[in-house]
Amino acid sequence: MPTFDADTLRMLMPLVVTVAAGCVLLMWGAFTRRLGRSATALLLLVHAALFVLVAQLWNRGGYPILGGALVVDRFGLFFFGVCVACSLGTVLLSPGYLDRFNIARAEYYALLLFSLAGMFVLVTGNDLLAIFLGLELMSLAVYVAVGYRRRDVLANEAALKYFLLGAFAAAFFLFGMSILYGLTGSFSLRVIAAEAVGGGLVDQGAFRLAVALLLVGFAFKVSAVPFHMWVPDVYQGAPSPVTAFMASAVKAAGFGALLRVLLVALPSARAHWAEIVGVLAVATMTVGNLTALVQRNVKRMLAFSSIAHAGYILVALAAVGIDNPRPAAAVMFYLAAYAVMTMGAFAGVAMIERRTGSRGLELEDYAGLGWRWPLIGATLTVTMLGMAGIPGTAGFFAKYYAFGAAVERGLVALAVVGVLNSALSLYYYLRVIVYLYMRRPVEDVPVRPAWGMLAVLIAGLVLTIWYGLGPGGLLPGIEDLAAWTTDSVTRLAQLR
Amino acid sequence: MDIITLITFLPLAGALALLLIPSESVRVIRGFALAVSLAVFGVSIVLVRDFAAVPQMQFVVERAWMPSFGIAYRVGIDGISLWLVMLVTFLTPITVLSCFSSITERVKAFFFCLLALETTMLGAFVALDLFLFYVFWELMLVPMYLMIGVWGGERRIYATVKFFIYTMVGSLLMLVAILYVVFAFKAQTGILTFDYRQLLAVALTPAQQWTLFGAFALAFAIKVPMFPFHTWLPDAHVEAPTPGSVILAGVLLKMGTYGFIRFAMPMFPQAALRAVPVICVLALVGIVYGALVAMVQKDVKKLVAYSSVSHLGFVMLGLFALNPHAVSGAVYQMLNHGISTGALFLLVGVVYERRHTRLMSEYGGLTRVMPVYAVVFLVVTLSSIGLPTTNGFVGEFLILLGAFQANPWYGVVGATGVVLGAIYMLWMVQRMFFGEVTNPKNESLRDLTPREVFVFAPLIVMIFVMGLWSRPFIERMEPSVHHFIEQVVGHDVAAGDAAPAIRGGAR
Repeated sequence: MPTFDADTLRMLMPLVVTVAAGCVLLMWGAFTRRLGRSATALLLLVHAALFVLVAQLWNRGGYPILGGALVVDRFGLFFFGVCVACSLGTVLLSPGYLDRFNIARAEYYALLLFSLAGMFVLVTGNDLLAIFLGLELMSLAVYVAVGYRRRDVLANEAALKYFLLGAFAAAFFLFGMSILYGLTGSFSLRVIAAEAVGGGLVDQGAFRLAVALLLVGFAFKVSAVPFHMWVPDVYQGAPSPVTAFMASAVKAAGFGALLRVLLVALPSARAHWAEIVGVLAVATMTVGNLTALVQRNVKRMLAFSSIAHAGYILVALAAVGIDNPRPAAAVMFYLAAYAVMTMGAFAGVAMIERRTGSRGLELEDYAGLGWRWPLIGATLTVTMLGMAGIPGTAGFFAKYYAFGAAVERGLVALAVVGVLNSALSLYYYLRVIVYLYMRRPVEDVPVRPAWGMLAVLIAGLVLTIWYGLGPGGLLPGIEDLAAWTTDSVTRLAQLR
Repeated sequence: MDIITLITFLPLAGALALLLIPSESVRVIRGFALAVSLAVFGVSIVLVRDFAAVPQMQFVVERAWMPSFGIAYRVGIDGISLWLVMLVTFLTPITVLSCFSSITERVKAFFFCLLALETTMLGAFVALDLFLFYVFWELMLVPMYLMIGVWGGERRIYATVKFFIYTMVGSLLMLVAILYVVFAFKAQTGILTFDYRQLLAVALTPAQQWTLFGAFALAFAIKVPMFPFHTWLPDAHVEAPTPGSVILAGVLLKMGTYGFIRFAMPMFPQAALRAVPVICVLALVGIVYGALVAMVQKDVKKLVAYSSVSHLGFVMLGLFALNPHAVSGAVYQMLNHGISTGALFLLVGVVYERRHTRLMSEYGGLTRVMPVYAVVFLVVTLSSIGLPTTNGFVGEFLILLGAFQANPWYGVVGATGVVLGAIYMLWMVQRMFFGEVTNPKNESLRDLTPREVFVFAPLIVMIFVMGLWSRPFIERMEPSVHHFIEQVVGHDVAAGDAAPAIRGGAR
């Protein structure tokens, strides 16, 4: 019988705070129709509290709780920290966006918080059942948030598509889980690891099948090709802040859990899954970039670009192993960097959408905006260059770290495919800049800024450059992040 | 602050300060940009004064940047990069002055790009850390991309995107090669570092050297541009605004040849030696092909652009002839090309501003209408052809001398390039300047304004100084040139053909 003491509760505090705040918001929504500043203030407070909790737990914990279901270690806390930061960005982006479309309701924020709670369980999950629970809690909330503009046909389609395909992927995941349970008699990642080696399961067909099925489940969540079909429609149909949330936080949490499963439960099967991951990486990068080339809708373009980035992350993932923490650290760094750039880019998109409504998403709507709105222009330019991997931005360092990990592991071919894809991607990222600065505007409609959006815009701009140049100081720099990530991976490997 | 860092980042500081000036005060912006670029030039003169003629890197600075990745801020110059740094600091104020009249829209943004570009160019020339070099190397593309794309001609967007992607493909493969070298070095020594001087010691099999040299060479060959990777160049040049072309031809192309000298050849010497025939043949093809294509151009800017392909072919030939004469000539020719082709683009800009056409058939008999302009044009043309007493002569002569030593055939084919160069350049001058004024629109063209005279005066002075008094230049670069040749052919100096030449040159 798992014990539940004060220490356990302390480690679960982030979860408790998130869920409690979500419930409060739901109640609040039941009594008032209009959301004021006070709701946003409450949300900011909750996020501040979550950051404090993460910082407090950083140096404690690290051992399994609840009978081994969760382990609140640095690895999980790093990912949760990234998710909280993304969620904060989403909360800041939302008021300006929701007001524009007249859908500002408390349930929206409650959904975000519930999803965040799911992420906590997902990234700290130490057995497959907990991971599955986290995955579902996170996803269910996001399914609803995606369809939040319920009078919009595209939003309805997006939500339905995401839900149906998500359920399908969950079934794959469950199937893989159940096979592993049948083979090892446990959901615990550590027991599975031990059985895989001790029981000589690694070479069994059923074991390999189970691993492949788990990978399919995760591949869906992190939008790897060929399980990416939902991405463009869902990213386009969802409210822009939710899209930003999905591209950054959901992806980070999904990769976090995947990393943990691979590192803790399946290191002995590395030869097997690394091959699959490598193939997925090539397919994901190439398909993502090729399809992004022909998009004219900025949100769809960013959707395909997010698929491509999942591919770059998979390159680093293919190099992951317990002998060297660097590749896993590269995955973690990439996710943090990508989250920063995505938030900045979507802040720009949301700002322009606020001006013109949902039709303001074609490239033509961006013509000449860089001169009219220097801040939007600067942020979009820097984040686009960052995603393309130009030095001096977070995106370059992330790619350098990821491809470096692959080269160190001897996967030079993967790195070469990766850089060629980066060159390909340059075309559609540059096109945004072409429209921002090199074309004449069609009509001059003023952008009404919202302070939250401005904050995210500036944060995206500053952080993208900050993590490109690598300073430390007020904010953690590349060195700190790299140290944190390698440290968390090392500890994770020691725990086994 | 040390002098190299000061020179490198002063333009960027100026660019950022520029942002504080309101966009309406165009004159203040222009004056400020000019002042900043002149200040950078002024400081950089100290480098020439204090430079000692020894092969070692000088003014070296090392500061921690990202120690856990082996990345540090490592800068310094030798006799080769010294002159390239000077070329940048010399050309930038001239370019700034030249665009007082040619850039009238979004002036602040333009000067911001130009000054930021100067920092990235200087950074690439002084970087001694491969990571740092790569950062500057790629970052350089962004301001250039904006300069062509925003202030360029009609097909500017096509040209600028092509320019960016072309260069990027090559450099990304170089990035993988850099990572490979760094991790190979780490596997051998246990040290993770991007320090260029340490990485020279990396031990690689011939096959590895060959592949890695290929990746580096591709990146640099695109930038040079070497035949057959030159197709981005005419587009970029024709669409770029005049100052953009000047910087592009004057400095950016040198990045490629500099990359060969500094990185590709010393790091992978065996592969470089194996590549000599391939590169030399491509260089010769470039020389002749560039000249022939230049000959049939109707657009004078395109003619100058193709002449760059030809001239850079000479530089590559000199580098891969691998004897002191040829390499010194190649480095010299890099500077010459920066000055004379930069001047040619500026000259083309002068008439373009007045007539808004670059077709040679639209001009004719300009000598009578614009006598000062015609004189300047002729001097620059002669320098570009390599007439004795001009700088071009010294460079081309040394290269051909060295090429003959390496392989008489290289010299013979290369020399035909000089002849062809004289043909297309003089023919262009004939069509534009001599004869009667055929087009009435040219009757009232204004000769060079005093400001424009100021733009060209330093260039003309340098053409003759470098043509008549090349000693101070050669003296400072010579030790580095010898050191470079030792690095590349050093291990078989005793056996190889290049050996007598080296000893002869060193005496």
